[in-house]
Amino acid sequence: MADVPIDSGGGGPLAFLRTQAARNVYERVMHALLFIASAFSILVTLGIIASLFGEAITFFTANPEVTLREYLTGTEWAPLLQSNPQFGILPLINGTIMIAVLSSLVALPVGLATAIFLSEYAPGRLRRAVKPLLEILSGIPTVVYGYFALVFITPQLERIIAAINTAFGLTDGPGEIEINLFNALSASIVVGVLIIPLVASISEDAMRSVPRSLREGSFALGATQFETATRVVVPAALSGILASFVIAISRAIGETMAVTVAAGATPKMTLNPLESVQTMTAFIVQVSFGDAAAGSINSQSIYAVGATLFLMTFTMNLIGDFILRRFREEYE
Amino acid sequence: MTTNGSTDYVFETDGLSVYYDGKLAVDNINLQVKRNHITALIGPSGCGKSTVLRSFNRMNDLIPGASVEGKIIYDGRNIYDDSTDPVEVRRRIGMVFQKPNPFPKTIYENVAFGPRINGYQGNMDELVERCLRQAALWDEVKDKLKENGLALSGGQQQRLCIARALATQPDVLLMDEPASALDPIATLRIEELMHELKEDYTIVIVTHNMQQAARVSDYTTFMSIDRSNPDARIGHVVEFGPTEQIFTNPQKKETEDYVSGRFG
Amino acid sequence: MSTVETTTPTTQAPAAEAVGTYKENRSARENAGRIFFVILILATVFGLVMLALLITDVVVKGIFNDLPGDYMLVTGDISGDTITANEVAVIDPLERIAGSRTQTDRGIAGEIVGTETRTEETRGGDTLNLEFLVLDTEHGEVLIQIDEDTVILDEDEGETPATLESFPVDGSAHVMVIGIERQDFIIGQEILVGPPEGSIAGEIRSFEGPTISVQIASDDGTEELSVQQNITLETSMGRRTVVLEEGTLMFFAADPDGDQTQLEELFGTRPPLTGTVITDFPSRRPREAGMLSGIVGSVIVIGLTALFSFPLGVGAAIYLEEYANRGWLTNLINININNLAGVPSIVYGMLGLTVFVRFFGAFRPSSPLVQAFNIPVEEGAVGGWIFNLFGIPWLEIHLPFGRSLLAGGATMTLLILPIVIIASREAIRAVPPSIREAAFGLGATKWQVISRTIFPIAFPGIMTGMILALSRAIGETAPLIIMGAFTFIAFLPSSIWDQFTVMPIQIYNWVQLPGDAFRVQLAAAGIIILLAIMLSMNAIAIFLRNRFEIKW
Repeated sequence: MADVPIDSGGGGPLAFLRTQAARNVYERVMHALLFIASAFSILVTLGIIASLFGEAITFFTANPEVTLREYLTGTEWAPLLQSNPQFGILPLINGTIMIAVLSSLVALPVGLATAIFLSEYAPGRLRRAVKPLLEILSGIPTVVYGYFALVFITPQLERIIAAINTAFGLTDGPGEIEINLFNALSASIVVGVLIIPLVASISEDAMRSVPRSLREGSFALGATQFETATRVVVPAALSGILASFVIAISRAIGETMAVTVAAGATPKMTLNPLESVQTMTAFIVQVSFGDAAAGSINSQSIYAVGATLFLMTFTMNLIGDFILRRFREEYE
Repeated sequence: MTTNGSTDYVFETDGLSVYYDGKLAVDNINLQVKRNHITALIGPSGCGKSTVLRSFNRMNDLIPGASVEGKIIYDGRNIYDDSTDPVEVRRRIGMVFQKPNPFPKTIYENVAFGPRINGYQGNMDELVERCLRQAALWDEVKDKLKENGLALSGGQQQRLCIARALATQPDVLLMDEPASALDPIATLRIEELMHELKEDYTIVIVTHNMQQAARVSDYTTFMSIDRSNPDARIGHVVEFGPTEQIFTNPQKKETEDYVSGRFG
Repeated sequence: MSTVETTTPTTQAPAAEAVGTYKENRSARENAGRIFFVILILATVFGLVMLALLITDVVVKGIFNDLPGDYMLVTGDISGDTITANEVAVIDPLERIAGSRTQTDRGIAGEIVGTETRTEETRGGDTLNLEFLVLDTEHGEVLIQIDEDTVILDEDEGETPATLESFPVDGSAHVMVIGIERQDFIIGQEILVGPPEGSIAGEIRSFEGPTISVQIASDDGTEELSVQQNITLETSMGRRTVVLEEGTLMFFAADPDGDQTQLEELFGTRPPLTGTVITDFPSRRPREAGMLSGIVGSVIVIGLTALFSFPLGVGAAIYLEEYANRGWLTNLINININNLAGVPSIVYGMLGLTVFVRFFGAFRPSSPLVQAFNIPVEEGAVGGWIFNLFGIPWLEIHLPFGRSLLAGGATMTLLILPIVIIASREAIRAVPPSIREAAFGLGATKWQVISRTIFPIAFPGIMTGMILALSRAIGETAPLIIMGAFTFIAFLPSSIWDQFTVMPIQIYNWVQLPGDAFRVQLAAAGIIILLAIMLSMNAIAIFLRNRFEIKW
């Protein structure tokens, strides 16, 4: 050994064993603590399931006026009425799905086009500049998007509708198109903008992991860049792109503040996007903002709605995650 | 260095076999590594040179699914014995890797890292200086000890890694193709350094480069893939002996083919 | 694969025919590409224009338009009028009024049946005397707290008392009219118009717009008047048009020419985005409203979130990257974390409400735990079962957490935990394996390798992810609303056990209040502050990423 002493392991066999034992205990404690930290996430999931479904079950068992059958098939949702409340969730699902579908019409094409542009066309420097911008866009608080919809987009829509009415001579007539101050369309537009970054970034990742050789094969056959992008890269990355769609729609379903602010609080069965609707999330906020007391039927009803929402989004996320995994296995 | 040197050999392996995920990688290795000499491990790619080298300081333990059979006797003790602490083994048997891998810390902190984690209580400045001098790097870096180790050239980085390994005051230095990522001039410096270091340390080096093995080593082990079963790619030792003998008068046909460039 | 499909026709087509086909085809194909580009560029330009409009819109509304002041209509001497049996109307009573909030938050009218003084103890131990009027209204008896903000309109003494009535309109507000006669809707009449358009007062100048019918109560009973909907008033701020709609409150000066009745301006105007938005507490008057408690609440909640999520998130990331071996458990944890990242934030709010605020109801009066140990049960964020050793509020333990800052931080922690774990794992994965080998080769133990090499190297990356996650948390509204954060908090917290509100909840509250002053202007001011904080956090994260990025 060298001439400079080292305190551990240098003082005979017994000292060496002592430090080793102490070290092993310390190592095991750290290992255990870190394991607990990672297992905590499972606890969170169990907590979500226990709290949502526990109270949701109470909602059905403790209130004789509520039946699961009525909940799933009823077309009227009015739990806040003092007399004769109604508990059919279909109007809330109607509003939620309408907003999800309309916002997808905005987000899926634009998001996919952005992804194609970033992955196939944009020079590296532009891509590096755009990606953080997308990150920031997706990080803007959703209540801000709601404000934007209510005070900016809705007035524009009102103007457009008024112009249409005038142009076709519908004003004050029976066919006059009416738009509500709170309407599904303007909420859908901002929710669409909100989920564009999600579609763009997952789709772009998928397209960039398509091997170069596929592109080169296509170019070698005389395909243009556009053809290579749309007929080779997009089909090859299709599962990743589909996953981005599923995840984005799930995000739109769970989106809360933008729709609460802009879409209104009128649960109804309608397909007219110019009317006010209420989503599942907006209902939960409406009740919570009015201080629902624990144990009241209002407070229990939000758990039933929350559990329904959780089931819908959780299933979609699992599907999206599954597709992505399969996709990654394809190319890795 | 020779305080408990009851034997001339630092390592003696006895039937060493290494498995990855239950698949045999190197089979029945029996070697001796002589104290204060340089022993080279040569052989074609994938014959398990690095695997054997990494067995000497139990680095294979870190690869999931790796398992070891047989014994490596170091200091009269089997380093694969249940009671042996692999951390202690690695502290006494230093290692230098194929690609220079300094920590993204200052040059000083790179060298001081090993002593610090092992609770060194002497004068750190002195130790750092001595190790950098031993690694023939002191003159080049003495004015920039606070600079990041990654800012050095490749050859300097590798010498920094050697200094870092020396700072834990090991018995043995294991070198895994230490010059393969370096240019010829930097390689030459490393080779000169190895000659100086063997005064104080025992060195085991894996190299791809037969000339290098011939230049620097005292003993050479030639390893190859078992030809009877080439698909399994099981490594074994073909011949072991003084370097001069391996390169000028090999006992086995396979060795002769390899060192004369007819195979590999 | 599709490559094969595109090649097939090329190889099979006869060479002579193919030449013509190719050319035609090519121009069509290039056009497709061009059209795609044009559409994409148009979409981008459209997006940029929208973004520019949004920013201009928010900035203009938040900075350049003045907020209206408040007015008070004074008829007679108020101080002598708070006598029993007098009928009064109260505008904007404090939300502490007993009774339902939705029915009383704009105005209430009734007959005074008594006064009451209540003594309340504040948390600091001071006693506070609160004056209440007891009113007999159509909702039953309610208590109205009287303070300097209370505006009371009452009948002039001496004259035959005109009946003051309230009409529920659409269940949301009341029309209260004092001494109305048909000729009150005349040019020159002084009038005060209350919510939902914001209080404004002035002299009637002109009538416009469609004719609507207004239900009016007077001494002679209910009558319907036809009025044009848009009334232009001459006010101290110039001419303003008010729109009569359901729920509008109108107060007419009883005698247009009399000197007894007058409209007084209580406060001047001010721009929405001034220092007072940062230094004032929430208020029912736009002129005085600010989000101080929201800013402080956000900062503390985010601080607590950082405190909790750092060890949990980074610990989990280290375990999954450095310790976990492949197996069903690791797989399960991985899938679980990915899915938690996709759970709607509102669900975390419900989780926080059940677990942190209510502890699964374990401290309800009816729960077996409470009954078995006779635990005192209190309502509210600072109540619950209190355990305290040293008498310092910060060291207390309240069970359940209630709607406290602590519960808010804990809820937010669960929300951002998946993001923190995913970002930290990426940062740890970016440390090359050779660094681990080097450290192990020097005789470091596993924990030494992690704590002395991997963690310090990954730290800037972890911090970047952490700050980005926190900047997302600072804008999150829904979970904290569900969890039960408050809207109207007019004090600063003295410990993590206090009630709180956050910036985005203030903004949401303003957006859904009636009147442009709140809905548009103050909300814009709040958004500017929130975005400024959020974007600077993003900037710090990007700076960290660039400054400490290691090129291997």
